[in-house]
This record gives sequence, C-alpha cells and structure tokens, in this order.
Amino acid sequence: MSHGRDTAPKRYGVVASFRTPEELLAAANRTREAGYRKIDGFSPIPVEGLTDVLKFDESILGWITFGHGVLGACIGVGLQWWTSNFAYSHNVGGKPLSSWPMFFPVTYECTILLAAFGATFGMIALNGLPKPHQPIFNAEAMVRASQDRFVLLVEASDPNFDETKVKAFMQTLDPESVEAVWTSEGY
Amino acid sequence: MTQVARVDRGFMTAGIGMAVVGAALFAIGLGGKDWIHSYFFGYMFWLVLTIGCLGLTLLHHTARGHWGFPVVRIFEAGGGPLAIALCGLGTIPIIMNLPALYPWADAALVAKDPILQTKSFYNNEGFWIARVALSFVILAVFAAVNQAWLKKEEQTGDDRWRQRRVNFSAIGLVFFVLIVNFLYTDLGMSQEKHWFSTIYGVWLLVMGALGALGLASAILGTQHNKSPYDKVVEPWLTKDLGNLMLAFTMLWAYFSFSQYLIIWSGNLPEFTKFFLKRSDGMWFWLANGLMITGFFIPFLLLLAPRTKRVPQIFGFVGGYILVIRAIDMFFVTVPTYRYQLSVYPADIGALLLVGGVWCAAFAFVLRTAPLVTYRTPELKEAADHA
Repeated sequence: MSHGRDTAPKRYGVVASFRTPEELLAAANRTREAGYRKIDGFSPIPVEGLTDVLKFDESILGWITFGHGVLGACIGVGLQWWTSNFAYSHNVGGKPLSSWPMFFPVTYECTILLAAFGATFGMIALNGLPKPHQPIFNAEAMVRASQDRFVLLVEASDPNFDETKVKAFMQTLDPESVEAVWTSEGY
Repeated sequence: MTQVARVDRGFMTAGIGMAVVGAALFAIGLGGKDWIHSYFFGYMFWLVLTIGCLGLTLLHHTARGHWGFPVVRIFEAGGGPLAIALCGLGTIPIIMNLPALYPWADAALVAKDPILQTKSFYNNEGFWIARVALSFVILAVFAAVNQAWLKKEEQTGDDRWRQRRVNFSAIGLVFFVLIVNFLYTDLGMSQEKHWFSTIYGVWLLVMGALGALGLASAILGTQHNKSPYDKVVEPWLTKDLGNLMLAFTMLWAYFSFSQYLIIWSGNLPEFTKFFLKRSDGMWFWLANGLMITGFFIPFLLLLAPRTKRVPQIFGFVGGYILVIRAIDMFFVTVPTYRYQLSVYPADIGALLLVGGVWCAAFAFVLRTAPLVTYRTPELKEAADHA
C-alpha cells in the first residue's frame, strides 16, 4: 500500500574515514574552511576540540529547561497556596496560612523535577528520537567508528553539496576511505 | 602591540584613595562608642574575602583544574601570608575593645547570666585571643607553603613540587575549613549572647569564596584584552569560573535560607533572636532585598551562557557579586548592635579604610610575580587548545 511518500533511497551525504583523532580534527577543520557547514564527526572516544570545529547550532534546550523550571515553580507555589489557604487550611504553630518560607522546599523540588523533565524529554524530542532508521549506519566506515576509526560526514543537506566535488575534496584529506551514503529503501 | 595589564598599579592607586577617604569618614565616628562596630563590619568584609582567596588557592592546588591557573596569582595575593598577617594585626582594635563587642567579655553581663557563666571556660579573653592568634598563624603557614612551593616549581621546572602542593593542600583543606569555622565562630558568632548556628562558619566561608571569585572575575573581565590575560581569557575559562560562581551563589542561598527555614519552623526563643533582630523595621527590607540581589539576580545572570562568554559582562557580574558581599556582611554583623537599619559614615569609612590597606597589600604582592603562571603544563595545554 502506498503512503503517497517517496520511499526510494535518497542521498544522505559523503563520509570519509580516518585512522587517528588528530587526522579527523585536521580534516574537519579543512572541510569547514572549504565552506561546508552541515558536517558531523563520529568517534569511539571524545576528541578534544572537535565540537568547536563542528560548531553545533546553539541549542534551545536551555530555554526549554528554564521554561519547565518556571512552570514547576508556579505549580509548586500554586499547589501549596491553594491547599494551605483553601483545601486544608490549618493553623500550624500559630503561623500564617500563607507561610512562604515553608513553601520553598516543595517549590524547589517541583522546579527541578519539571526542569529535569524538560531537559530529558526536550533532548529526546530535539534529537528526533526514537529514530529506528539512521542512514549514517549504511556507511561501511561506520562499522569501525565505535572501535578504532574516526569518521567525518558532509550531509547532502549542505547548500554546497555536490557528491562528486565532495568526494574529490575528501580524497585530498588523506583518508582511509571515502564513500557516498544513501538512505535505505522504504524510509 | 597589546597593552600590559597593570593590575597592581590600579589597586595601589585605588587602595591609597580608599584609605584616605575611609580614614576621613571613619574619623567622624571615632568620638562615639559605636566606632568599633563599624570597624568590625569593615574588617570582617576583608577578612572573609582574604580567607575566601586562601580557600580557593587550596582548592586549586588540590583539584588542579584548568580554571585555577590564570587566577591563582590573584588568590595568592588576596589570601597570601601578608594579607593574613594584616588580618591578624587587624584584630588588635577588636582585642582592645572586647567588652564592646562580645557579651562574654562584659563582666557585668556575665555576672547575671548563668548561660554565659557556663560558657566562660571556653569564652574568656585569654583563651579567645590564643585561639584567634593560633588560627591566623596556621592559615599564614598554609598560604606561605603553597606560595613558596609554586615559586619553586616555576624556578626549577621540577614537577614534583606540584605533587607536594596537592598532598599538602588536600589535607590542608580539611584543617582549613575546621580552623576557619572556629575563627568565625569566635570572631562573629560569639557576639550573639546565646544564639548559635552550626552553619555560621561555612556560611561566611562561602561568602568569602564568592567574593574572591567575584574579585578575580572582575579583574579578568576588565583586563581581558591586556597582556598576559589576553592569552588566557577564553570562553572556556570564563565559563568554568562563571559556573563555579553560579555553584557558590546557590550554595550561599542554600546556607542562608536553610538556616533561616530551620530556625523559623523550629520557632524557639534562643534561636529566633538572631532573625528577629534582622527582620525588625527596615532590616526586613534589607533581608528581602538581599534574597533578590544576592541570589535571584546573580543566579539568573550566571545561568545565561552569554554572561559566561562575553568578558565585559562576566567582569561586571563578578564585580557586582563582590559588592553585594558588603551588604551581605552588613546584614550579618551590624544588626547585632543596631536595632534600626541605619548606615553610619563610619561604616563606609571602616570598609574603605581596611579595604585601602588590603588593596595596597594586594598590589604589593601582585607585583612580586607574573600575573599568570606560565610554567604550569596545564596552562600551556589549555592555552594551546584554546
């Protein structure tokens, strides 16, 4: 049955594989200098300085977390204000019904609870997870990217992307291998 | 050609100016009997800052984080043997006026107060002076040893001095917190007749760490384009220091508020006294203002990534946090003797006068060594990767 969607394999990008983190870092630097912006790196170990070269967009996750935190604080204060003034108003030790010092612990807990939810689920949503199919794994080079190889990707969504040109450019970076990556049939 | 940062010159000029203005303002109050209270407030602000600098020096030598190397000179100058010796000398006016500050030193008061009588084996002039003096000597030794060993490493290039500092400071940090806890209890908390709080010492300790970080950030932020800071003030550094300031801001709020919350909900006369004085009349507004200016404003400012990336903003926030500590210290010390919120010229005078001497000593020590330690491999690595 057709879903009316084009499910034929599409260009995803070009990957090059390197033997050392230093080579990957140098290659990423040169790729960036060559004008490519949609680039990514895959490595079995953290490569110091790589994130600075890849220049990930500034995430809005901080704002999502902050917004949820503020929401949590409002819920915490609101809940306690309502319960102590209306739902279960009791005289505790002669203190006023709206005793704000006592509101702090619950407000604080609600703030961090919702902020943590915002951070966790916001991160999952922003990453587009769950993602059963990630085209990058169609690349031969990725088999060893979690073991002993360092992989650089130029995505097809890059405005300057031209498969032959990118392939030729990546050959000049002294890689172990260069290959084009396509999405799988049906996605 | 980049300009050379002359931090020492700036602080020397500022110090002399502060001392002159401070002495004039302080002289106004000398006639009355309150001058020692003003002096105590001014003295405590700079003492807490000094001890904060020393604490961060010890923390840096223990943890050896990259963030410490560009600022360790500032902490060494602010919390070095000279600054601590001066703080020790600064207790002389206090020692000469013990009965005006400490209820346990007032014989008439002790005679009719059985609680003070029971405490007198510990709180008496001889033992008190001995404890305070010993604290300053030990703290000065801690500071001197680390400073000497860092200098040795720079001269010889021998890495073993680094490990020696780690071994010394890690254990030293434990004793540092203990000693400072006793010192603050003796100097500050024992001014309250019956009140006590187990968090008082660390509360003031965190105030000092916050002030010291604020001072270092202000220097880094204003001097970021001058040599040698132009090579080290990078986003990673301001981010690390900013996050540390954020953590200490939260810790300060936590200590301040948890102390209040426990006492407020317990509602026992001997404990609430401290906060009753501090929530009476206009003091109430100062207390509430301090929550906003001491916690919410710096907290929100330091949450923003921009504050920790742009050196000018970062330096401004650091300076702001340092200035707020003066109000903070005013709130902690002054209500003990003043029932209504009022600021005397002598308060400002004492703050500036002690501060003038402090800044001059700070500048004097800062001149004796390069502003940034380049021999340390961590910094080289940090500078390379930046």
